[in-house]
Amino acid sequence: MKRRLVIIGLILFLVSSIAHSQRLSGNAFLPPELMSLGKDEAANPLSLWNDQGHTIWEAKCQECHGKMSSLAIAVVQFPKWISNSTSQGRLLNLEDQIGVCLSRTSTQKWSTESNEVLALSTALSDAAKGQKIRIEGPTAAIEHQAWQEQMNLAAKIYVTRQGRLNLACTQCHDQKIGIQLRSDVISPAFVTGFPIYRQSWQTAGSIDRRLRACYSGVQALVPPSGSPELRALELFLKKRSEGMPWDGPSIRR
Amino acid sequence: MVGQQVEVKVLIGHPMETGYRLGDGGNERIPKNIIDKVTIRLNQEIILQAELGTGIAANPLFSVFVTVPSGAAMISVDWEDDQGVKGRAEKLLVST
Repeated sequence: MKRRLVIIGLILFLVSSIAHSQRLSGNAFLPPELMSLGKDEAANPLSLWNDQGHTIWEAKCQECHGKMSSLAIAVVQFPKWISNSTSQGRLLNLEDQIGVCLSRTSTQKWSTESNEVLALSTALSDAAKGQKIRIEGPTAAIEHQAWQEQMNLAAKIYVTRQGRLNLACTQCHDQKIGIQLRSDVISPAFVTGFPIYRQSWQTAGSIDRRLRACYSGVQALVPPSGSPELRALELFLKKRSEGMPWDGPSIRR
Repeated sequence: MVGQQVEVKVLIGHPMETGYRLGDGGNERIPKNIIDKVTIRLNQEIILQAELGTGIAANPLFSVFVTVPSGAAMISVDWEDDQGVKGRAEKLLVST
């Protein structure tokens, strides 16, 4: 019995030391069948969004932006701090930015989960595969301070227990990495491959939706889509993932 | 290549709504919307015909093994859902 405990302890130590020395993307924790599904273009449902994204790109975006690959570096730098003369600024993620762009030519209201938005986001994310994640704050001092406050807010949320399960993000995503949670293996909270096709959703979803799913997972009050705290969390998680290569759109259970 | 078996995968983008789910408000049912019929043909000859039900997940994937015929091989897929929406795709098998 004692020996078994030692072995389990050793495995846990190995898993945690691997996670710390070499940061692993969430995709490294997938079961083999989902890993191969992600690589099979013909079977991967994300290719539906990817194809649609390319069609929209050619119709609406190409004229100004040129090739999709020209935006590859920009894709891995979201969320970005956007300010104007009337407001101090706020964080925009990739789906927000796509919505802003689409609004220029249509009156429709776009959300992060609109089909067209997700299609473009999937195609752009695919074009950005392999780019190193880079997160930089605004240069102006006042704006940088506001940006840093968002980062601090998210860092606080990350370690604060919440919901009926009374859990903080860090308790699973730092302290229980590699351990089974029902049928999934807990991965560190690195953001390296969005949008995701989550089989339980039966559709693609943005990081906004994924983070809201985290809130409902611990039975906490779920913030509405587009809440500043969701963008702040995305900023914080992307900062933690800085320097890691972008995986592109990914499959989840 | 002629006479050999190749796998043909067909992925159809469709929500496959069962009609049992509730919308975000929690009151209204999302109307049922599923693909009823799928037909895959090889050179006009039916090689797969399926009647789908609510048990099939969204964005269904079909996989058939096709024996490569001599001459041209055109794979065509037709589907129709319960709201009368139809879809069609054709692809020529090219042996390399």
